[in-house]
Amino acid sequence: MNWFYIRFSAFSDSISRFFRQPITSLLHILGMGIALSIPMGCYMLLDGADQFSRKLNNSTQLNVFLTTEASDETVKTAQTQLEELFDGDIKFIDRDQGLSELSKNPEFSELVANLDTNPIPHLFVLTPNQNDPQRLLSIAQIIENWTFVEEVRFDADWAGKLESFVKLSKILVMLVVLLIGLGFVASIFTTIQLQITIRKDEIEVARLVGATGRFIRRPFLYYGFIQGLLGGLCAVFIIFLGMKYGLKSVQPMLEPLGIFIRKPSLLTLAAPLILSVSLSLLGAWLSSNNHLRKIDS
Amino acid sequence: MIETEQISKRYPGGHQALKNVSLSIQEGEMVFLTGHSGAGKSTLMKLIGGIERATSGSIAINGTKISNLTRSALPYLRRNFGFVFQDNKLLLDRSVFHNVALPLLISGFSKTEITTRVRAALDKVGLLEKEGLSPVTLSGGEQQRLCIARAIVNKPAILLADEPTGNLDPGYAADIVAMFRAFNRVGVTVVIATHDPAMIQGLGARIISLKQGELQE
Repeated sequence: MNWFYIRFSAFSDSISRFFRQPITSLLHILGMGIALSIPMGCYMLLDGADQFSRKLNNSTQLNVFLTTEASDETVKTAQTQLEELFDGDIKFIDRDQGLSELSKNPEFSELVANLDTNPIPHLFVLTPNQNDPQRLLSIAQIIENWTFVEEVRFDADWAGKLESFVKLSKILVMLVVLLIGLGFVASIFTTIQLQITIRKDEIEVARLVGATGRFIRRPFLYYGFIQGLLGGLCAVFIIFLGMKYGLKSVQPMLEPLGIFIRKPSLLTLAAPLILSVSLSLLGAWLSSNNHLRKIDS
Repeated sequence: MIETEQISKRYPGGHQALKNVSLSIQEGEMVFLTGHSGAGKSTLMKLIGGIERATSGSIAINGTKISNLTRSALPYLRRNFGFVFQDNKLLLDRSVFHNVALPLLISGFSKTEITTRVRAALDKVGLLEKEGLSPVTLSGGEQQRLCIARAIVNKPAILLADEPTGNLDPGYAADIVAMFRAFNRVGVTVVIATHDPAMIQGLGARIISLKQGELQE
């Protein structure tokens, strides 16, 4: 009971101090919320792009064009070698079939009719069972060296590049989160220093009558906790508003690109809250500890 | 009860506040520390109370050497003392009651016990009627009595008072001295630092004089 009473006294005191300066506190919380919601929002946008690039990679195919001189025997050899090398669906498109498909296109029909010989090579379309761009690239490099192969086209090359770009962007967002985190700690450190200055006399008296470091530190940790919690809730609220209203205007522009921003999971929403509270507690602990060390030396 | 052995205190910047002070104060004794301003009285009080550390020498309270205590153990030592200061060190943003309650809250007393003890301490110094007021509404003498109530509420074994009557007129000062005498009679060890000769007269307490940081008993 005493344990609870001591902590409750410190907590209620911290709350009353927090709301004693409502405008300053509100602006601080808003600043924290905005600072946290920006990288979280970017992360969600990138997550949508990531899904898109994965989807593209899943439809990755290798187009293997044989030389125009390739005989039926060569086609058989190619088929056997491909089956040994490649794990997935192998579809053969005969050069005549290719030409007839081309002639169906009104733009090329006249051109095809005037041709003396068929210039289209035999084609193998390889669709992998598992999406592994690196593995597919290495297979393409092997096939390219076969004498009867004219060209290998790796259609999803640019999708791989997009995936790399998304990955890089995610790392950048993480860096921004890290920098914002450091700024967060510094900001809370300064706020708590200000609180310590305001409560300097109280700390001195408490210390004289036998207060432990833990007792002196406690109200400042509570203050940091309250600030972090409210700042985190503000960030969640901003993300929620962004999803509800902002997304409506952005989604139609992203849809043609195949990018769909998913609704944030509970964990995604909890992340800014956990981050905000942890960093605020860290800032408050560093600040109060710094002061205690100074007065004890 | 309080033993100091060859203690010296030199502050950063080179000021030597105390030089090789050795003294012994028995349990239940009332002692006056006298000397001019800058003689080292306040420094000695701070060293005894574990508020500051001696540069050299040792201080023992009930056989426990302060220099052997870790930083985290010092607060528990300080709970054996009641401190009274010339400038009161009252917290003006809280009521008379809550000023006195602070040491008990720190020591982990229950809410009921805090209320009982605070009222008893306020009653002892004649401020029970004013428990809900802010300290700023009290007179100088009342503020000093409030400071004494805060010092005794924890029932300390040792009362350390640094110039407790420094800012008071003779009438209030005599009241305060009488209060210390009464606490001493019930077994509390009382150490009072003062440069006021009128305060010491007629009490029959031991007087320890300091001059430029050195003992002149």
